[in-house]
Amino acid sequence: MSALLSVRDLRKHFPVRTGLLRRETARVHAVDGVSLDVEPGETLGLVGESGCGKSTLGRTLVRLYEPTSGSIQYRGEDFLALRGERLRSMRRRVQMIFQDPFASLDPRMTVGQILSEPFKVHDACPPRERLERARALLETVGLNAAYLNRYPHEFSGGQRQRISIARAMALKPELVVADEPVSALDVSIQAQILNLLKDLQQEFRLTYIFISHDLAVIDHFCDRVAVMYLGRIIEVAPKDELFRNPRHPYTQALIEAVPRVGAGKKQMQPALRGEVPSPIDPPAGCHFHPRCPKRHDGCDREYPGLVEVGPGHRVACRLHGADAIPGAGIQP
Amino acid sequence: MTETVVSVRELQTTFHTRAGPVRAVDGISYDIAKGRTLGIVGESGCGKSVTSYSVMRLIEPPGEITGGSVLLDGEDLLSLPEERMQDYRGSRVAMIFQEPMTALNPVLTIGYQMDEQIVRHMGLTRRQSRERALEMLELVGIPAPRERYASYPHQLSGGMRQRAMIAMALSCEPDFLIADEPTTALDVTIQGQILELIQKLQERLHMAVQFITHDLGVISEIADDVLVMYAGTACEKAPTHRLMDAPRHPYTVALLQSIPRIGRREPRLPAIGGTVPTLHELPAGCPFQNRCPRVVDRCRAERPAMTAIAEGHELACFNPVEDR
Repeated sequence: MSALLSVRDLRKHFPVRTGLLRRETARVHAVDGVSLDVEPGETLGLVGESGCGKSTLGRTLVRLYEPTSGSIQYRGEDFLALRGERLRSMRRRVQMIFQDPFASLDPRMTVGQILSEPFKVHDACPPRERLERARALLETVGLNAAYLNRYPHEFSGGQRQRISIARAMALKPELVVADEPVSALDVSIQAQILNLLKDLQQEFRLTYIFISHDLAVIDHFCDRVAVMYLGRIIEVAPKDELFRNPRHPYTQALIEAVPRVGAGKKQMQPALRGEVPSPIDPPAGCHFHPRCPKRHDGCDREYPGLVEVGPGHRVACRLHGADAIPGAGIQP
Repeated sequence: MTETVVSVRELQTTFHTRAGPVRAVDGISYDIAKGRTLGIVGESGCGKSVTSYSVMRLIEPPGEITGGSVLLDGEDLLSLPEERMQDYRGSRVAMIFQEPMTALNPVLTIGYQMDEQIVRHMGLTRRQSRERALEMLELVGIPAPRERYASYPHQLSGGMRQRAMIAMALSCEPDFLIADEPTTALDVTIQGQILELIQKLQERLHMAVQFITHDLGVISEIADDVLVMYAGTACEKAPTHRLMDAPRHPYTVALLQSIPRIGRREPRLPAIGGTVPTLHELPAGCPFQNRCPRVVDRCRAERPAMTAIAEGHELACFNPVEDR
């Protein structure tokens, strides 16, 4: 199967400008050399803590940000080289859903206008059919078609997220990047939206890149998971493999840190000490080494990159792979 | 026998809105003993935060506490004169928040703010209070406390700010701590660190803790007992393991089923249909009736009251889920 999306050594750096002349004095290495393939029909999860670059990566993949370097191929075509009409047609096929349904809908437009907009911008149907299409979209996401004349502020958070999803589905995309789509929602509403996204995936044969900080949501929703830390993917594996057999010390700590429902009151034992360092000046070698409980000599100098350790399971850690530190990679 | 520190009875808080009065908290009762943690859990708008602010008497117009009592060691906080309450806040009752800047003043150094409080409540000199503040900063795990003492809040990271706020809140050794979603804005690895810290300080100071969160996982790991709230009312209260293993209220059951859990495999989550009614349009009877799979006629006519069904287990439901 050939990949739908193929990313190689992608970097996105943001300049930090200070002083009167706004000179660039530093760079935030938000995405720092990411390579990944996304297969058609799959849901790839991107997980990590704040500042790991998962949202920047998502936005760069849909070209909301122009990457600093690297390549993105979409169905074998160079996505970054597209201009004009070709780019517009590509944008129809790649859509994005955001975390905050309050900020992503224009408060001055009615739901009908919001949902007609994609058809207008892309001239996707005759003008008089637009409202009809908008009505159908509302029904697709489980909202009453009578809402067409209402404004976003009249809806709850969950309903607004349904409207955002309807807008993303308007032009029948192939790939949807969903950036924390349920993080702002209450748990009972979160389940409704996750179920809706699953239904739409079946109906429209969608491919998802699903960004979340919540490992339980990732485990529920995704087929494959990539774990990010300070701009890099440090482990990627099929979901079951990743949660049952995490190999990177950071992935292990991250999974362990999730509070378990029904676990019972316990003596809290933090999985990790210290905080995520600044992406402006990330630690040399493996970015994780200052917090790593299994760090060895040289981890502060060498970064091994992703190495295959099992079928579809790749990890960037010197404890694993063919050149692993002897005896260190054995898991208890 | 455990020693009850806090005893809240029939607490009621009303907001006077243009559309008429709404009861954000409507008849909530609970006790918390020394060294114990009560978790209060519920979704947005369920009244869990308003309950906390009411206990601290931090409700401002158009809100008003319209009934009930809050006994701290037998003394009703709701009938104290405001000056007395001010003495109690910070010294006997303290509160920590989701957003540390709610409690920290951005234009004053951490040390200045801590000193102000310590001098006022503990009657120490400036020099003694500085010692005390440094001791607290060290206790909450802030590296280089002397430097941080002179820092402004914005110079600290989110996790460190949370620690500084906790140091400040606990510097006068309160008997009762209210923690309102203190880890919600934090990353999961930092959350673990802050939960450990709260637990450690609770053991040291023997505080009663009221821990508010929407996260059932966090509640599971930190609380001794849990109170579940819905639309301003209490649904169910039980020891944590019992509530998680054998919930009886249909809302508690649905809430526990609707959250994704690591390792649980099911294609679809059993979602709760509909949305929480706004407080303006609450139906007569049980507030959960319109979303409840077990609704019976009586639920529409009458509001169920919290009733004890077992040791420490209370329930407000006419048609509860079978006991497993």
